[in-house]
Amino acid sequence: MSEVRDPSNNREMVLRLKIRWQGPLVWVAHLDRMRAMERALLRAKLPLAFSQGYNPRPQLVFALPSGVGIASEAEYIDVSLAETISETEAFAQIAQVLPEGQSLLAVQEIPVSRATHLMASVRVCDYLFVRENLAEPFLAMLNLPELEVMKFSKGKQKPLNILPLILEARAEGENVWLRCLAGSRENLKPDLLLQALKQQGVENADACQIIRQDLWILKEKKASVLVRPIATDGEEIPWNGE
Amino acid sequence: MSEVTLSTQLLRSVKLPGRYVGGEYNQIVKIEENAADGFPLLRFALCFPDIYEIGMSNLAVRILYEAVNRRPELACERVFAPWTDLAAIMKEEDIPLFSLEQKRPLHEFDCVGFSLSFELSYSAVLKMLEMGKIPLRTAQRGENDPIVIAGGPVVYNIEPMAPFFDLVLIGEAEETLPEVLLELREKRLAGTLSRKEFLLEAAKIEGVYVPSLYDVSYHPDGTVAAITPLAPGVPAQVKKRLIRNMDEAVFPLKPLVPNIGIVHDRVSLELFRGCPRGCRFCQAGQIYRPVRERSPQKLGEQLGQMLEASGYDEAGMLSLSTSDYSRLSPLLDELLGVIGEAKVNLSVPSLRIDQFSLEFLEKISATRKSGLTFAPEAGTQRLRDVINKGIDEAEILEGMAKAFRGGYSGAKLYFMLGLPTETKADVEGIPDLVYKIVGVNRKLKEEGVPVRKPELTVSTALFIPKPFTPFQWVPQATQAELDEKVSYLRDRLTSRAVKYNWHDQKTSLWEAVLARGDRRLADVLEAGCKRGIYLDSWEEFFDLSVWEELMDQAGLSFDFYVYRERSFEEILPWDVIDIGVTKKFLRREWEKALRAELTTPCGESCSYCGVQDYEAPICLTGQKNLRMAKRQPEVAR
Repeated sequence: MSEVRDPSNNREMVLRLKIRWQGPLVWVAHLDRMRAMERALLRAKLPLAFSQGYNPRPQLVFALPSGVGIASEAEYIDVSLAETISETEAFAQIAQVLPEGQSLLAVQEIPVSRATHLMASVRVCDYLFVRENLAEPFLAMLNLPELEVMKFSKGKQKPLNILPLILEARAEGENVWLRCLAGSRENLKPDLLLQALKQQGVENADACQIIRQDLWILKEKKASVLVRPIATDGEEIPWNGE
Repeated sequence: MSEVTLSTQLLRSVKLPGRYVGGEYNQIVKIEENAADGFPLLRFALCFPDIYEIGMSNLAVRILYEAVNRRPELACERVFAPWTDLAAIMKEEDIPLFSLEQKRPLHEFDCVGFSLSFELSYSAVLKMLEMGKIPLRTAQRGENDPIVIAGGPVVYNIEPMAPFFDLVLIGEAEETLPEVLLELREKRLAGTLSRKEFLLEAAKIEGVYVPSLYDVSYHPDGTVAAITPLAPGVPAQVKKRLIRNMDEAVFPLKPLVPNIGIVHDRVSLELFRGCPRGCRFCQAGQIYRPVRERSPQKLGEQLGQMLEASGYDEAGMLSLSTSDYSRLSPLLDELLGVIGEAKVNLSVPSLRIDQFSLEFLEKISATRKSGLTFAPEAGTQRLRDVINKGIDEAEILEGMAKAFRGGYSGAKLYFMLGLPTETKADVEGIPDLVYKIVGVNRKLKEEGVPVRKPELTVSTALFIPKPFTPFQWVPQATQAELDEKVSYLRDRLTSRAVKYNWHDQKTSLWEAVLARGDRRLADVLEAGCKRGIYLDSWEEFFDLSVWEELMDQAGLSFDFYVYRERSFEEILPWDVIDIGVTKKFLRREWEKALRAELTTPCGESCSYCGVQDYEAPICLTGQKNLRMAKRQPEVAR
């Protein structure tokens, strides 16, 4: 895990936002999500820190990029500011200018000196797959000895057994709650599960809503536990990765 | 209201579903059934016959959205053309075309209006009506169908589409549109007027053209014999409407912020309408007369409000010719003052090549160097004079030298092929000029000036004669001639310093038919719709052979519309419209073109185009003339 390089050189503060991400912006890709957040933060008139160079941009880091069609109960975004501002003030300013479907759930200051790269510390993600009569075929599929899907990566297609990436899954009513590896090392894109369902002949797999429930990051360097990026209840999950 | 449901499944099966979900920041949704007066809101569907990314980049769409929605009795929702993937699903699952705001089916609106920017979008208009379950022709619509209207720069000759529109707004529509909609609401509430009676009433509003209230008869040779109003009170000629005071005109100060990237993704400042230049090929230069500017103070104020309300970090300055804005320096001071320390980019579209433009660019590109675009339009001085471009080679070369010195590596250069009187020498003039510019760069380098390697992009478009221009009577150059010219340029423009782009000629041919077309083409367009032609302004969907076949079946020929020279006596299909600029002036300009004689820009002296009488209180040059005329009554006309 690397220390954050500060390309802006003028960063005084890092704020971590937790946002519920629903509505129309679920249906856009990661870059469009970034731009929507940038514009919201510009409307919020926060003292944003900008990158240097010909094309200065606000410094935003999304914990884990989402694909088109993925909603979230917990989008975490780190924002660099050029001046300090209180959490409550920031909360009030941001909450009133967010686009339709989004709500600000929490704001927490992350000490600049101890700021680690949010994206690099993500290890695990929880998702909810929502659809009528989904749990049965979904969990049956996870009991197969192997579940191979075609994964597109760098313009190439290659088969991938996704079962080792899944840590835990259970039925929640007719829906499925699933915990999987996530982040820059090993990552399960939840849409691959829709693809797998289709391969298994499950009808209307595309009707599934996918909602990210929460994210888990290393508590500190080389920690043996994971925590939520904004810890609310002290809950931890054990981690014996690297 | 019935609501179209966009299921998760459907959204997962199309490209860029963000196009269809709406819900952008600053979107206006009026869910209430009634206005404050206790009567239903009048629902207007603002349609743009192209996909979301194009339509949302159109300033007219944004202005009209605001102009209608600011009225508490009116509700405006946007409708764009779905891409072919969604269109196919909608057809299969029988989903009607719907609005972004409330997913309301098109046929459930009281009024459906299309903003039309160019002729090739007609195929999308008809398909959108069909997808929206609205009968295509005025004559087929019943009392419960929406009133279907159109506006925009192409409607100055809307004849090929005349049978499909109940009424057409001629000129700038931000005042006429709410006026017509309020009139419609009142008549609907009174419950006394039929559709026909309403149209008869609407025809009396200035700027409203009701095509069904005119009979067009033809000579045996296919030319128009007469255009006759069919009822008393229907004007023989419809006068265009225009905005008198730009500072007071409605403008979207809370811009919609799209959720996906669009073509022009920035806030827009409209510096002025009209253009003082009078380039003879340019329709916009005539139909938007006279020049009306917004004040620097107003523009500064608008910029501040728009940036704050949207979170955009880029602003584009729009007008037909930015460097002709009369108060550019104060404007820049104003805008840079508003921007202050914020990281905001200012951008400008095509500029004239002159000293002033470059200084201007230098000032605004403090943070980022944007590309230069220049439009010499023709390769020789003679032809530039024919089209009244009013720029000479020395100016172009000096301008480019200045650009190279300023650190620019080059520019995009726009030319037209097939201009009237064009000879081989004029075409040869294009590479000559381009290589002279390359030579300017070389010479600077030899003199020890630090310049970057030259990179010039040359684009040629094909000249299409348009109504209401001095060239409206001329035949278009033939395909064979144009092919030869393009291939000549491809052979000549091979230097590594030059990249050559040319425009597809087949779409230009169909555009040319529609541009100067008449009502008889409506049958062809309708047959095209039945054949499934859709979005054929996109080259990938354009198939000239189908239109050729349909023209044949209708007994119409391309030659008649495209390659025929019109006589000055001929009644032109668009003569029913009065743009203020007189036919006499256009003819005078054509005669001057043949002599390669220039006409001075409006600001310098008046050329008596007709607008000076038509709208004397707002044409500044015209006003000056009026004062002169009072002193000197025998002033030459």
